[in-house]
Amino acid sequence: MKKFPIYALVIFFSLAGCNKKFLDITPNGQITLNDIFNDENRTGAYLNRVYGHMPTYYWNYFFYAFLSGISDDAHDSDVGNETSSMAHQWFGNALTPSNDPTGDTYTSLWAGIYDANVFLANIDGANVTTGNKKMRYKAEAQLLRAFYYLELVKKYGPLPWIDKPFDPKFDYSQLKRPSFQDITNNIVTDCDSAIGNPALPLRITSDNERGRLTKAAAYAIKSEVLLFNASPLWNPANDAAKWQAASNGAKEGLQALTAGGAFQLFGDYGTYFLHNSDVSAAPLDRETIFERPLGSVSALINSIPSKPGMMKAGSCPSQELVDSYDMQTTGEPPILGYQDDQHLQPIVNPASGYDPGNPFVNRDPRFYATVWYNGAVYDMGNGILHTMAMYAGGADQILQTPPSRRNTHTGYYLRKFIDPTIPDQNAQNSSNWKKFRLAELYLNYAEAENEANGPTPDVYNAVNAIRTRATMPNLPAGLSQDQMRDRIRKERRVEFAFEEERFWDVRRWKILDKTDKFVTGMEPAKITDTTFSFKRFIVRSTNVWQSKFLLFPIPLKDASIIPDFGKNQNPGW
Amino acid sequence: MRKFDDHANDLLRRIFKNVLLVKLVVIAMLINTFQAAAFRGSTKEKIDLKDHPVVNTMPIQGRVMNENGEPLSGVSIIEKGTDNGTYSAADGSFSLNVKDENAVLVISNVGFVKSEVSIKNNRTPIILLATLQNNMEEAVVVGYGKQKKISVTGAIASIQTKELKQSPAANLAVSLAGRLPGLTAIQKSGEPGRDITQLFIRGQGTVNVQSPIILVDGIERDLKSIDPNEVESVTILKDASSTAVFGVRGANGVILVTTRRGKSEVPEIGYSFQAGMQDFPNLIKPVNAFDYATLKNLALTNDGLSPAYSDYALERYKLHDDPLRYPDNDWNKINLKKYAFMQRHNLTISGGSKFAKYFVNAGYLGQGGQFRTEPHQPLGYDPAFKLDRYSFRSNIDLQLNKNLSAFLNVAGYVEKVNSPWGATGSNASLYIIAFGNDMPANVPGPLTQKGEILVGSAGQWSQYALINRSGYVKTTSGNITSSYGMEQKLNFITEGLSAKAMVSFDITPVNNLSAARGYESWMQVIDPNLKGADGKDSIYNVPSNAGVNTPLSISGTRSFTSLSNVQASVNYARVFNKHSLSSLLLFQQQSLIINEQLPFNSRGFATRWAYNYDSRYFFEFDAGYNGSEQFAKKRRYGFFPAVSGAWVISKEKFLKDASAIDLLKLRGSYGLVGNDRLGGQRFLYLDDVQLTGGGYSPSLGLGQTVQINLLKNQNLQWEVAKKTDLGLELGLFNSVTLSVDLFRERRDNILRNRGTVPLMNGLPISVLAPVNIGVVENKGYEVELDYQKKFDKDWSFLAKLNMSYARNRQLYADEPLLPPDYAYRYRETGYRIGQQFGYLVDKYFGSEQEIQLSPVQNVGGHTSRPGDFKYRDITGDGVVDQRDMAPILFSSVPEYSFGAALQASYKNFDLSILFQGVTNVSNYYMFRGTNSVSNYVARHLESWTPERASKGLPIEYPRLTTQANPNEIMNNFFINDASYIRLKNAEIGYNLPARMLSRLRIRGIRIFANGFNLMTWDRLPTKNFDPELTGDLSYPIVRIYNFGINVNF
Repeated sequence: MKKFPIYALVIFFSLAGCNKKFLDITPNGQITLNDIFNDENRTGAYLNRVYGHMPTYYWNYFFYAFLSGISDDAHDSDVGNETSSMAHQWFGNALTPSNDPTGDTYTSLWAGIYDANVFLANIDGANVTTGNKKMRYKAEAQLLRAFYYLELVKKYGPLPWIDKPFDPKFDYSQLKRPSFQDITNNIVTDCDSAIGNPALPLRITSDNERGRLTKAAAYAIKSEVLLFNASPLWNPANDAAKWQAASNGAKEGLQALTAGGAFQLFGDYGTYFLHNSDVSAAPLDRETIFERPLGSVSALINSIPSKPGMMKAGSCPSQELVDSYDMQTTGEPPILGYQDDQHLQPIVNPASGYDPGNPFVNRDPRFYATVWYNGAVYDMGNGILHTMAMYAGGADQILQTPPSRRNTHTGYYLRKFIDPTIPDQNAQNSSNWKKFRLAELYLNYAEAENEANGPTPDVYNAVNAIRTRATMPNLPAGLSQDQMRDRIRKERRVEFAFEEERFWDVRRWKILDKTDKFVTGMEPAKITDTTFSFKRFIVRSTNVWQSKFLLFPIPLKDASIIPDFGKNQNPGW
Repeated sequence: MRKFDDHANDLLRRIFKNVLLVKLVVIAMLINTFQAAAFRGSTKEKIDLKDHPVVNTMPIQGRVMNENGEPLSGVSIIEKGTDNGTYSAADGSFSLNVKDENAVLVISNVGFVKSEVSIKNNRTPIILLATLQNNMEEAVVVGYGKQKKISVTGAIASIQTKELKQSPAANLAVSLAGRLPGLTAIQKSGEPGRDITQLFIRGQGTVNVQSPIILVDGIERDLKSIDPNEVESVTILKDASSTAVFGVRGANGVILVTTRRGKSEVPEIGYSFQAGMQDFPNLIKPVNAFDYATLKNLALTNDGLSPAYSDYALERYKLHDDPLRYPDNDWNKINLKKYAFMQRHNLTISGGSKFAKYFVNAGYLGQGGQFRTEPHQPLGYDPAFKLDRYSFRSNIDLQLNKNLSAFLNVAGYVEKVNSPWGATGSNASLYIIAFGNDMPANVPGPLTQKGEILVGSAGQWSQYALINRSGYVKTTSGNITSSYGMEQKLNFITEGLSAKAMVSFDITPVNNLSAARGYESWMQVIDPNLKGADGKDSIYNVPSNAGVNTPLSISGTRSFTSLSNVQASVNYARVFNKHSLSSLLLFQQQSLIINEQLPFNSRGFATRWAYNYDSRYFFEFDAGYNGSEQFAKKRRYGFFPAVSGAWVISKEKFLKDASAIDLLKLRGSYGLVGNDRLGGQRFLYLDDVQLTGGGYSPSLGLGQTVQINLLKNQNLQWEVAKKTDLGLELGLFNSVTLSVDLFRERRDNILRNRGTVPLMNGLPISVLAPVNIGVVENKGYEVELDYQKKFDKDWSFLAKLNMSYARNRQLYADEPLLPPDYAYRYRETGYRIGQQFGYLVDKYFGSEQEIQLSPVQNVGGHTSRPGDFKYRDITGDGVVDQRDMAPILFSSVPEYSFGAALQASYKNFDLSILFQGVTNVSNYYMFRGTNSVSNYVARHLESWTPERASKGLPIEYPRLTTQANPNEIMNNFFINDASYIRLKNAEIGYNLPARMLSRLRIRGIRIFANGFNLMTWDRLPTKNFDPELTGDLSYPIVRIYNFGINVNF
C-alpha cells in the first residue's frame, strides 16, 4: 500500500496536466498589421506593397502579347492559332462583365488604392524618423493612388473616390458613381499635393530607386487625366474650359520639367526604346519620366521567322499604322484616308511624293524604327545581312491560315523594342516599360491647346518639337483647327506606336467605329528579286468597334453587389 | 419515489459538486488496481470464497441449442438471484454447481429470447433458445456507451459483422454502401491502398467539411485501419440526441465502429482464407486505328484543314497488312491484365475465463493491381500496383475483482502500397490512366526491337513506360492504436454508480520511398523518300527525348501522426421499480499532431440523462460542451443540448392484446450540434501578415514587401445545426419491422467567404477571413423495412430494404444577386450544395443560315458552325451568354440512396444478395472517354456530319473539331444523370455438416463464394466510366469475384 500515493499522483497529474492553455496554441512567426507601422523598414515594405499593384504593361498581356495587338495599329498572329490568347479572345467577343481578356486590372488597381489608403492612414503615426522619408513616402502613396485611379477610370469610367481604408462593416451598397470631372478633380488634387511636397524629387537619381514615382510623374499623371476629362468621351458638350484646363496642366508640366534642361527629348528615337534609361543626376536619357521596372524577356517572342529559334510573331503592324507615317521629304501624309469602309482603297496624297509601287521609301524615320517591312535589312549579328522577305515563299512570309503563330498576318513585323542586334535565341531583351515620357506632355499640350484656342504658334511649337527630334519637317503653316487635329492625332499614333496610347486614344476620341471595324495588311508579291507588287487585303473584320467597347464593363460581381454600379453599368454591358 | 429522489439528489450533488470527481474516481480505481495487484496470488480464491460460501452444491450439466438443434456457445447461464453463472462451451454444453436444489437457471444470449429453466427435476437440462426477431432488449452502441434498443430515443442505424463480411472489398468504408439507411458512400477510386471513399450521413448539411466523424472503440480513427473480421458492429448516429454528446464535432453525424471482444469460455479459433479476382467492369475503350485516323481526318476537314491520313494509310489501318508502319494497338489489352489477384487470411482466437477475456485477430490482405508489369528480373524492381496489409488486434478484458475491470485494446497494421513512379512520383495512376487513354491506337510500340520504349511522336507519353520504366513508389505505413481503460463500480457511494477512464495513444508513421529512373524513348520515323528492299517506305527510330536509361534514384518523404486521447466518465444506472434512470458525465481531451503542424487540440464534456417509466415512456437529455484550438479564447467552447423522447405504444394496455403488433414506438428529438471542421485554413482568428522578399523597389523596406495572407475574424465560431427528428418503429407478426424517420436540419453559422464584398474592397477574398454567415436547410427521410421469416427447420428468409432521401437547400450563401437580365440570378442561394450550372442544348445547328437566324451564341468567343450545339436563349435577348446559364440536374452527392439486402438459407446453404443504388445525382463528364480532345471513343463515330444529319441517323456527338469550340463546355450534354443500381454483393455459402466434422475436432467449416460490384445498371451515355467516379483520372473501380473458406476449431 505504500506505493499507492505515488502511483495515484502520477496519473492525477497527467490528467491535471491538461492545463488551461491546452487550447491556446499561438502560432509563431506571424505579425499583425499593427506591427507594420511601428517599424521603419516594415513601413517601407508596405510602400513596396502599394507599388506592387503597378500594372505590368508591355508584353505582359496573356502570353507575351502587346496590348497593341487588339488596337488598329496591329494584328496579333496568335489570333486563330492560340485560342486562349488575349487577341483571339478579344476578337471572339470574349469580353463580358465576368471575363476580361486583357486581364482583371479592376481588382488589382482597387487593391493598389486600398493599400495606398492603408498607407496614408498610418504614415503620419508611423515610426519613420530618418530624414524626410516620411514626407516622401506620403507623396509617393498619394501619387500611387492618383495613378491607380487614372488607370482605373480610363478603362472603366468614373468610380467612387475612396480615400480611407474600408472598414470591415463598410456598406458598399450606398456607393455611387461620380462624374468624370469629380474624379479628375480628386486625381489632380493628389498630384498637386505631391508636386507641392518638397520631399519628393523631380527625378530618380540612383539606380536603387528606379521605378519610384516623382514630381515629374505627377505632372504626367495630372496632364493625362485632364486630357481624358476634356476629350469627346467625357466632354460631349465640348466644353472649352476643360480643354483649357488640360492645356494648362500639360503646359505647367512642360515648363516645370524642361526648366534648365532637366528633361528634354532624347536625340535618337530609333535606339531610345532598345535600352533601359540610365539613372543618374545628369542622365543621357532625359526624356523618360517614369519607367515601370520589369524583368527581361526572351528575344524569341515577338520575333521574325528568319531568326533562328523564334517562337511567335506576336503583334504585327497594320497597314493603317504604316499609312500614318508621313513622307520624310515633304512632311506630308502619303494617305489622306480611304474611299471605302474596308480601307482597301487609299486616297493617295499626290503632293506627298508617295509611290504606291514602292511604298517604303522616304518615310518618317520612326517608320523604320518601328516596322520590319518587305525588303528591310537586318544584320543577323554575324555579319550576314538578311533582307526581310514577306512574299509567299519568303523567309518571313505572310501566312494567315492556321496553324502559324510564327508568321505575320499583315505583311509586317514589329521592330520597335526588339533589339535587332540580339542574334541568339537565348538572348534577353532587358527592357523596362517607359510608361511616361516627355513627348507625351508635348502632344497632350498640342492637342488640348488646339482644341481650346485653335492652332496657335504654341501648338505648332509643341508638335514640331516632336517632329524635329524625328528629323521630320515642321508642319506646314496655315492649318485649320480640324487639319491640325488630324495632324496631331496622326503624330500621336506614329510617335507612340505600340506604346498603348492608341488603344485608349481612339476610345477617348470616340472614333472606334471608324478605326476598328477593319484592319488591313499588304501582301508583297515578288516580280523580280528587287521589284514587288503590293496588294492590300483585309486582315480582320470584327465587331469590337461597337460603342460598348469604348469602356470596359464593370465586373459582374461589383455590378451585382453595388446597386448604383448595376444601374449605371457602362453602356452596352 | 421518495427514496429515488433522495438518491438522485444525492448523486447530482455529488457529481456537480466538483468536476474533479472524475479525477477522484481515477484515484479510487487505482486503489483498487493496487489492491487487486497486491493480492494477485489469492484473488480467485478470495472471490470464490466471498461469492460462494461453503455450502452444499449441486452439479448441473446441460446443453444449449437453437431451434434447429445446433449447439450454441457462449450463452450465459446464471443461477437466478445470484452471481453464480457460466457460459456454454463450443458444443453447447455447460456445467454449473448450484446452491439451491430448486434453483432456476436464467439462460440468455444476444439475439435469442431469454429463457428460465427450473432444475428442480432435471439436472441435465437440454435448453432450446428461440431466436428473437424484434430484439428490443439487444444492446446497441451509442455515443460513449450502450443502450437497450427499446430505450433508444434518437435516430441510429447499425449493422453487424456478418453482413460486413459478405463484402470482399479491401476497404471497410466501401462495404457500408447500401447497408445503413441515412449513409451514403461514394467510392472515388479503386486503386489498391488508395481507394478513397466519401461518406455522408443524411447528405450534405454544410459547404465546409461534410464528412461524419468516425470513432473506433470511442476514439477518432481511420476506417482504413480496420479489418472487417474485427468488427462487431458499425453504428451511425444521425440526429441531435444521438450526436449531441459529441458537441462541436457531431453535426455531420457520427460513425461508431465497435470491435469484437472475447465472450466464450472455450477458446474459439477460426481461420479464414479468401481468394479473389478483380477486374474493371467499366473502362475507357478508345477506337481502333482505322476509326481513329478516319475521325481525325473528319475533324480536320471539318475545320477546313487538310486530312492527316492518306487513303493509303486508311486502307492499311483497315487491312492490318503493314502493322509495322500502320499499327493498331489496343493499349488496354497491352497494358492491362484481365484479372488481378486478391487474397485475405484471418486467424481469430477468442475466449476467456471469468477473469479474463480475449479477442485476437491476425490478418493479411494482399491486393494486386490491374496494370501489367514487366517481370522483376530485367528491371530489378517491382513497379506493380499492389497492397499488402498485415494487421493484428488484441482486445483484452480483465475482471480484476467484483468491482473493478480493465481493458486493453491494441491493434496495428503495417501496410505496403506499391505503384509505379509514373510521371511525377505521386499519384502515378492519374498519369498512367490519362496518358494511356490519350494514346491513339495507331501509335507504334510499346517497345522497339531492342526493348526500349517506342512512341509515335516527340514528347508523347507512353503508358507502358510510365508503368514499367519510370521506377516505383512504395508507401509503407504503420499504425498502432492502443487504448487502456478501467471501470470501477462505485456501489459503496451509491448503488448503480460507476466510473470509467480510458487513455489512448495512436500513431501512424508513413514512409514514402520514391525510386525514379530515366529511360530511353524512341520515336518511329517512316521515311517515304527512302524505300526499303520491299519497295515500302523505310522505318527507322530516332530518340524522342534526351532520356537515357539510368539506375534508380532514391528519395523519400515521411510523415508522422499521433493522437492522444483521455476520457474519464461517471456512469449511473439504476432501476427503482418502474423507474429507470441512467446518466453519464464524461470528460475528454484529445490532441492530434500531424508532422510539424501545431497540434489540433480539443477538450470537452459530454453528458446523458435518460429516464424511463415502465419501459413505456422515455426521456433523454444529451449535451456536449466542448471546444478546440480553432477559435479565439472568448469563443472557444460551445454548449450543445438535445432533448428526446419515445413512447412505446405497444406496451400500453390498449395494445397489449393486439398479438399482431410486437412493437409500436414513436420517438422524437430536437437539439443542437456543432461542426468545428471548417476547412484547411487554421487560426482564422489571428492575423497572418508576413514580410517577404521581392518587393517592387530595393530602396524601400530593405527590398521586402508586406504579404497579407489573412486578416483575422475574432468572432469565428463553429457551425450550429438545429436538428429535428421524428421516428416510428413498428414490428408485426414477429417477422416484419418498419422504421421510418423524418428529419429536418437547419445549419447556421456556416463559415463562408464574404460573397457580397465587392472586388473594389481591395483585398482578395482569401485574405478577408471567412465569417459564420451561411445557412443550409437539409431535410429528408429514411425508411427501413425488414422481413424475417423462418418457414420451417430448413428454410429461412430475410429481407432488409432501406431507402434514404436528403435534400439540402442553401438558404443564405452571402451571394450577390445577379442583375435582372440573368435567367437565374443566383448560383447557390436557393439551390442544393454543388448544384451544377451550364447551358441548355436545344439541338445541333443544321446549317449556316440557321446559325445566322438564331440567337448569337456568345459562349466563350468561339464561332458556331453547323454541327455545333445550339444553346437555348433563355432570356430571349437574342444572345446566348452567361445570362442564359441554368441549373442542370443535381449535384455530385446523391439525394436518394437505397439498399436491398436479401438472405435465404436452406439447410446448410445460404445465399445473400445486396442491391445498392443512388439517384438524384449528376456529374460533369467532359474529359477522356467523353470528349474529343485527346482520343476518340465509340460515341465519336456517330458525331454530327451533314450526311448523318440529312439521313436522319442518330447523332451522339457534335461536330468533331481540332480547335476550341462552343461544345465542350458545361452544358446538359456533358452533365449526366449518374444514378445507378448495382448488384453490390452476392454470396453463396455452404456449411459442412457438423457430424462430418466432429470427428476431426472441427466445429464448423463454411465455404463460400461472393462478389463485389457484380452488375451495374446506370444511365450514362457511355460505358466508359463507373457512375461513381467523377473523373477520367481515377483508377477504375474494380469488380471482385471471391472464394473463401472459414474453419472454426
